[in-house]
Amino acid sequence: MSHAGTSLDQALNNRRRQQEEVVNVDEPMTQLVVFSLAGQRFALPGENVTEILGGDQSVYLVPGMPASVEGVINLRGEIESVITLYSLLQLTFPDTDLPGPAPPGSVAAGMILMAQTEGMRSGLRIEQLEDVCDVPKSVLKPPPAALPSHLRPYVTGLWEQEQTQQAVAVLNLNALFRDYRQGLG
Amino acid sequence: MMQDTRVALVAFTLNSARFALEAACVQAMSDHRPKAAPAEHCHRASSLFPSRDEPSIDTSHWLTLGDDQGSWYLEVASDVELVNLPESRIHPLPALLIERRQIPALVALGDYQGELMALLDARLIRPCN
Repeated sequence: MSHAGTSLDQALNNRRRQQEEVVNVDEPMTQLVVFSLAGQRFALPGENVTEILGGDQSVYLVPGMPASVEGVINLRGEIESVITLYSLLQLTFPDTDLPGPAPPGSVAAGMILMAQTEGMRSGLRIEQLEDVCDVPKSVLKPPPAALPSHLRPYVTGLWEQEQTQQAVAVLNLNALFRDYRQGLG
Repeated sequence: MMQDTRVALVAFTLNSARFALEAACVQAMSDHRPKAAPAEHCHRASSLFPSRDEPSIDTSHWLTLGDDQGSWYLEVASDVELVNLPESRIHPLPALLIERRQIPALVALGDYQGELMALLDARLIRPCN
């Protein structure tokens, strides 16, 4: 029986490389919930999204609220707010019946992400859920210098999806809620 | 089995939205403006809350509200209904909405017959005279 010869050093190097590859597989990952708003792609860390609700959820208008408050939903007996991010992120409001004042108990297009940070929870209206995926943290790039100033407080990183070649802006939910509570948006 | 405690509310409509006050704060109701009521103690509900348009409804009721500072009168241009709402159907306003509400008296939401009522703290809607 013949064996291809190799030195011990080479064998050890090969083994180390294989171990590095294993380490690469185990590199820290983060889950992203990718969605679209006004033709742009955004994502929230999966740890901030507790539930994704379909478009058949009835939303009830609450009087005396700013236009960015779509209303409330009854989620298994608990009343939860539903807000839109168009104003806060300075996005073009869609020319459809998406969010905004609606008849009592009406159903709007799109979906609702139930988003939660420490001490604050709300539904966020999205137009479309694009993906829920685990990505290596190393592929997230810092926000570019060219990022519009109004997005800077809210974008923690960019992820370029390989399949679509489109950039996804990863949002900081704490910052969104903080500014929204202070009356922005 | 525990009984669901009920809260008596006086409900009315304003700009297609249902509002309600705790009935304990409503001393009386009249179809006419109380004759002895000074003008500064009489207020339209539509003037107290942000509104888009004034409903053109003939129906008008005057609620007599009272607190430590005395009585005042609230005109509501809709039917008025006494509602006994189970406590389990009363929900505190979600935290995010508390901070963005334009009606400071809006403190809770009531789930009544498949619709949502905005529950107001009557002590907080008294206008400054």
